[in-house]
Amino acid sequence: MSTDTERGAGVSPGVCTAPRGEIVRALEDIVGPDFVAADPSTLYIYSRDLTENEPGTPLAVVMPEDTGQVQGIMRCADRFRVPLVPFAYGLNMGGLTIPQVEAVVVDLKRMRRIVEVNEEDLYMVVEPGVTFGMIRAHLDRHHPGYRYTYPLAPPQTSALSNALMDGLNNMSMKHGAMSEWVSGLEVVLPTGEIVRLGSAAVVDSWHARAPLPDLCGLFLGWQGTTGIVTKAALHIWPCPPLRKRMFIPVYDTRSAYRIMRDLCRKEILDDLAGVSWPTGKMLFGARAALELCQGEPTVFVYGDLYAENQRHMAVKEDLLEEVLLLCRKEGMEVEDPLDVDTLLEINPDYGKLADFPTTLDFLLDYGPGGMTWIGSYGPGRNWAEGAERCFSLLGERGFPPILVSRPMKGGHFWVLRFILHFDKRDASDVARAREALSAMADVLLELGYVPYKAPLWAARKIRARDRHGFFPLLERIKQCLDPHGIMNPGRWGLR
Amino acid sequence: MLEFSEIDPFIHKCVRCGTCKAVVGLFEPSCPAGERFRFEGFYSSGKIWIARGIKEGVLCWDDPELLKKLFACTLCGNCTQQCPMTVRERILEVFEAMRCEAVRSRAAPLEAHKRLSDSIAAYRNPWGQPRKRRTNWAKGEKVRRIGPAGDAERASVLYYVGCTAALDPSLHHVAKSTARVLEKAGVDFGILGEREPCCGSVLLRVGLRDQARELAQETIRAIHETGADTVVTSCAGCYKTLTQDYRFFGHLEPRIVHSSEYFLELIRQGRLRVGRTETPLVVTYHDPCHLGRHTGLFDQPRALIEALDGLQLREMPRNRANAWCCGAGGGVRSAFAQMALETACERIEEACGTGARLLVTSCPFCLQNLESAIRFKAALLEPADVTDLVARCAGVGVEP
Repeated sequence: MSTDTERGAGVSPGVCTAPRGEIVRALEDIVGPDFVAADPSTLYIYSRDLTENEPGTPLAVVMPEDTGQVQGIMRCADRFRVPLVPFAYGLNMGGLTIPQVEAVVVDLKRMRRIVEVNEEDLYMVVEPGVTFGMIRAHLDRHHPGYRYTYPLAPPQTSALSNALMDGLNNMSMKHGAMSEWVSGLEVVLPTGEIVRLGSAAVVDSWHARAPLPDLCGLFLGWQGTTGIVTKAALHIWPCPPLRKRMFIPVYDTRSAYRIMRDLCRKEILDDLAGVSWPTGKMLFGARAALELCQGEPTVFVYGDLYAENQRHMAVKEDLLEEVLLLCRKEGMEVEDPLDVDTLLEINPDYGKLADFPTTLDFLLDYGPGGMTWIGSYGPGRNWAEGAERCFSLLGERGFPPILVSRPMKGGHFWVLRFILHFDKRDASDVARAREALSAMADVLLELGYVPYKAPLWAARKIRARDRHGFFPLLERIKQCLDPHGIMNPGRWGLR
Repeated sequence: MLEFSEIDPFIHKCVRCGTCKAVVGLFEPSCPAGERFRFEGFYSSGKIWIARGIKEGVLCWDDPELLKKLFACTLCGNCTQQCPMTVRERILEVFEAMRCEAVRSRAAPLEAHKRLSDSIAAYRNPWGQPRKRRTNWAKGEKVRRIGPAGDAERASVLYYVGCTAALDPSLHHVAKSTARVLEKAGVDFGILGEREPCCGSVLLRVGLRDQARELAQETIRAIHETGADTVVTSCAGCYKTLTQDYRFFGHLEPRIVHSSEYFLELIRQGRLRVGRTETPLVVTYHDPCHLGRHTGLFDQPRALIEALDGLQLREMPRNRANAWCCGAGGGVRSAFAQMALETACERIEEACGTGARLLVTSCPFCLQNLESAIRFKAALLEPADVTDLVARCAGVGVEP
């Protein structure tokens, strides 16, 4: 876990000797005085997020408008040897935009252009400040036959950073983690060069990363330690005319796994996910201590069926029914699927999960304001054990077992993500959350689940398990791309 | 009305999810200050976190950049419509409590707001104008002054004009139209005239709550002295203040009603006959924050427009509870004039996008700011108050 004294441990700060005023003036020359701030209230806000991670005050915050200004900022940072921390739109988890050393935060929300939507070649090119909400509105308005994919996150989050950080979205069951949706990048390197990766490097089209050597991997999953991505090409997909979202109440964790596993192998669903019972209760408006009553389902499996026509839909529904029938024959207790209309009759609040992007009020509004999670990708074979052991760890520490899960890329790997609410004002509650996260991370790693969007404390745990030269290689690549160590030092434990 | 000491339950829930930054579903910007300045601290969530910083003792009021974040907010309340948390309904109260505390800590008022306060103290209006000019608009109109030392002791309806329509000559048409419609409908009404004090809205918005309290008590007294059982106002700011804020300062006996609501009643009761406009017109309606989001009057002005033959209402994408603010409120126009203008310009672009020829609103202060933006952009749009349209259709229109 990161603490005040640990912040920056292992990092080599102090290379920047220029006074703050000089750096601020140089940045103002690039973006104009209106878009550089170094006052206490600005620095306070950028120094913390909603999670348990310790604050870290930046040196200044700068807001570029375009790639050219990002390049100018990068060159300026290189000249002063001042570290930079990229920041996309404002919602940050895991302390991932909290500087680990005195650094300039580069807030990219002014860069919010949807540069291109190419229906024929199924991609769009977006800047870092483009949110899922903006994409949804833009596609609905101008490209109604096409869709992107949306996370279980508030609508005002950056689609580009979600892709760079390997998030998961509502089509991840079919197509995998979000880095797999990237078909090209424009990046400003720490040395100031602007490069394009993927097909757009050599032709006037952003359609694919193949067949050139795939250098996008130098920036995907690196937590902003190798450069600032200023454009990303992301896949879009045709949107079939029919869609049915359904919820299947299940009564134990192992049955839920088996049902999800069998369903995703039928290849009939575009989305498939599972949430544990507290999430269901929150959706019904529970705001107080959550309790599972006898006879209530423990997991809600939900999925999206898309179809070209009713016949197509009927075939998919038959196959889904077949899976459930088989599971019941094997003694599993599982309810019939409930469609959204039925759920809305029970409680209109269920409408929040009927479509994306969601506002997530049911998750955000629970608890006293502090929220954190640990999310991980791992093998399906250990999913149920991971869920059950983490439920126990949470229960022992007084947290409800809030789980959001999903098979990824047809079940090639799975998600286990646990959400904790705590009181940020209460040091003992913060410590309780940290301890629970740490214990769960140990269990998850033991079962082959690697945390994604890893906070610093989780990165240290991951790194400690490296027996095959992975992190030394990361160090060498980082050194090569960022010789003066100005990009987000400390993340992944890299200098 | 919260005190700063009472805001704790409402400031620790915000996780800065960012949902307040845009209109949910439409995903167009919702926050004028955030759009203008872009740093996190200018958005609603940023200000809430600043409150936390102050409570923690990490931040202090005596910081011009902090005050800029706090006061460069129109208090439009669009964030409260988008925020997914249950505390959203108290967000504006939190901001007003912060402003009030900044004043009590002697870090505020801002210089521009101090001038408004001084003007109100001297003249009972924020426009720096002698009280006697308050009735200039009424010259040539059939209007009685009521109350002690008035033309008449009492009338059943008091038309509370408000400072902006009374003192800005370019907005006298709002007051004239209102008075003419009341006259045409045979309403027994009068005005306070030179004795009408400012309602204190601007003082409340810029944190001068103690001064506003004193003024409110004076206004309540003046209203009660007229014996009117109904107070009609054509100003959205006055309407919000009289209906929402005065309950914390005293008891106001008469029914308070906005002119758009009252005129609709008159039409429905058959007391006011309205005909067609001279030529058919496509109009769009701008919801004043004080009238719409803050007091819930969305339908009445629209119903009124629809009651006027020859007008076709075409909505802007951001309308009703999601309406983009005109940019003037919360003390912004006096302290951050450029932001007020840019915000209004964005609204004008949105209005032009509807294809309407007429931009209608129901607040003189919105109208004043929107008119500035129309001039600045040389937009092909005619601004109007809804009262003007009613007056025209009732055959008592005021020549622009």
